Amino acid sequence: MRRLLASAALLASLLAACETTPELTPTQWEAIETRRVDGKRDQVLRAASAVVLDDGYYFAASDFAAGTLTAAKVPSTQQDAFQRSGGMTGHSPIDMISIWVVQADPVSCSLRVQYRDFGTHISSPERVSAFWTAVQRRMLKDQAGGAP
Amino acid sequence: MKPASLLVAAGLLLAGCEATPPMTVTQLDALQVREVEAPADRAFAAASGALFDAGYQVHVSDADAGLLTGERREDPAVATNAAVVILSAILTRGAGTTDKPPDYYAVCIQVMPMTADRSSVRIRPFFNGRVQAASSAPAQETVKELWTLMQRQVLMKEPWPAAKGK
Repeated sequence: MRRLLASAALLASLLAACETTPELTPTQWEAIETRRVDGKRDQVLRAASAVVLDDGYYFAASDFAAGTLTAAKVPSTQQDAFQRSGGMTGHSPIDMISIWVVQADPVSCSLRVQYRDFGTHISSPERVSAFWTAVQRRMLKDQAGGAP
Repeated sequence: MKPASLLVAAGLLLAGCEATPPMTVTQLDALQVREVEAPADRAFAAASGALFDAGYQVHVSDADAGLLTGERREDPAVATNAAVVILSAILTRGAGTTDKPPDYYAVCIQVMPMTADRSSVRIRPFFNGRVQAASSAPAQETVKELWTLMQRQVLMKEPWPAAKGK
C-alpha cells in the first residue's frame, strides 16, 4: 500500500511538471509580432512582399489599401496532400505568414508579422526579428537604386 | 576493414554530400527580376495578360500592390496513371494501391514602379506548392516564357510610333 502511495505521489509530481504555459493575451501577441520600421507604408509593404517571396511563400491574399498580405508555403511532408486536395484552392495543412503594415507616424510604420505552421499560431520573436531585418535590408537595397 | 579506414571512407562520402549554400537576395533578383520600359500599371496589365496566355488561373490579383498569383493544373496521362495504379497494386499486393496526383505549377509576380515610365517585374515559379530553385532549369524556363509573353503584351499595347505625332 505504501509503495502504491509513493508511486501515486511520484506520478502526480511528474504530471505537475508537465503543466502547459498559459495562453498569451492579444497584447502579448502584438508585442511579440510587431516591429517598428522607418519608412513610408507603401515602401515597407512592397519590401515585405519581396521578403515573403524570398522566403519561399506564395501570395494567397493581398489588400494594398488595407496594408495586409497573406502568403502560404507547403511543407515537404504535405506536398502529396496539397496535390490531392486541389492545389492552392484546396484544404491541405500549410504554413502561413500574415503581414500587416500601418503608418504609425510620418516617418515610420508598424510591421506585424504572424506565423501559423499547420494552423498553429507560432510565438517566435526570432522569426519575426529575422523577417524584420530582411525587410529593412530590402528597403536599403531599393533606396540604393536596385530592383526590388 | 579497419575502423580508421572506415572513418576515412565515411568522411569522404560526407564531403561529397556538401549542400549548396542558399542564394543571396541579389543572386535571386538577378535570375528573377527584369526591367520593363513601361509604367507599373501597364507592366501589371502585361503580366496579367501573360499569365492568361500561358494558361494560368489567377488566384490573387492586387494591382495597387503589383502582386499576382497564378496556378496551372496538369493531369498525368491516362496511360501513366494506369501504369502507376497497376504497379502499386502488384507491389503492395493490393494493400496500398495509389494513383499519380495532378501537378500544380504556380507563379507569383511582383511588379514594382521604378520611375514614371519604368518598372521592375519579378517572377517566382512554384511547383506543387513549393518554390522552385531560381537556378533550376524549369524555373528559368518559366521565367523566360512569361517574360516573352509579357514583352509581347507590352509591345502590343504600345501606341504605334507613326500615330504618336498625330
